[in-house]
Amino acid sequence: MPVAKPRKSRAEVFLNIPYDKTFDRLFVAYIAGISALGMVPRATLEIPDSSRRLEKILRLARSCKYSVHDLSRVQLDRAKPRVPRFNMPFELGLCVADANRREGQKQNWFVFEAVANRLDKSLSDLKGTDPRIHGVTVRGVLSGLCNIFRRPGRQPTVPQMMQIYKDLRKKQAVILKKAGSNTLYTGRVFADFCVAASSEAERTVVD
Amino acid sequence: MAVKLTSKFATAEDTAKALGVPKSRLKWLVRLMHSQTAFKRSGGNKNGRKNHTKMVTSISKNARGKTKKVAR
Repeated sequence: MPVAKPRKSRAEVFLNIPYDKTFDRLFVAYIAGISALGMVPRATLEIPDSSRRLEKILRLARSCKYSVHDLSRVQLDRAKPRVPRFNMPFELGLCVADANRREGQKQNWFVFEAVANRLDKSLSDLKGTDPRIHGVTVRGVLSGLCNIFRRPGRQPTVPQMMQIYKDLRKKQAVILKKAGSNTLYTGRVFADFCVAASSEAERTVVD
Repeated sequence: MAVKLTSKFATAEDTAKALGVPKSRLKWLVRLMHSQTAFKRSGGNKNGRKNHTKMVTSISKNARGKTKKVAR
C-alpha cells in the first residue's frame, strides 16, 4: 500500500514590531523579506481588541515556528504622556519563555536592533544574544533576514527582496485606498500586504 | 546562527488562507501586483518622430495614442 508523504507545512513568522508611522518603511521591509523567504508573516494586528487579547497574542506566537522581534524603538513617545513602548520586549519575553519550555527546541526567536551594543544596556538580560543591527534601513532589515534564514534551492537575494519591497511600496496607496485606511497598521492592510508580497515573491524568487 | 528552512515555499494562496483573506480579494491583489507589466507595455514616448515628421499626440479623450502629422 503506498504511503502518503508527510506534507511539509508553510512556516509562519511572528512579527513583533512597533506600530507607528515612522516605522512604515521597515514594516513593509519585514513583510517583503519574510515573504521572499517563502514564509507567512503573522502579527498581533490580526487580533481585534478584546478583553482576552493577551491570551490570543500568546496563542498566535505559539502557532508560529519562528519569531522576529524589533527592539529598535526604545525612545519616549512624542505624545503625552511620554512613555517608552513596552509591548515589544514583553512579547519577546513571552516567546523566549515559551521556547525554553519546549525541550529540544532550537532557537526560534531573533532580535533586531537599530544601534549596535544598545541592547546590552536596554535589555541586559539578553546578553550573549547577537541582535541583527539594521541601522533603521530597509537594506539592513532584508540582509538581516537573509542571514538568519537559509532556503536551499530557493534562497532569495537582497536585490530580489528589495524589488518586492519596491513593488509593495508602489502599490501601497491603492491597497490603503481599497481598505479605506490611512495607516498600514490595521489587520486588513497587513493581510493584503502579506498576500501581495507572497504573490510577488512567487514570481521573483525562482529555483 | 542561520536557520535552514525545510518548509514549503508559501504561495499567495497559502498566505491568504493563513490570514483569512477571501478569494476575491486574493485575486484582486494578485492582479494588482501583476499589473506592473501592463504599465510597462503601454509606456514609451508617444511624441516621438516617425519618418522625420514631428508627431503630436492628440489630446482628445478617445485618441488612444493616435498621432497626427504636423507641418514643420
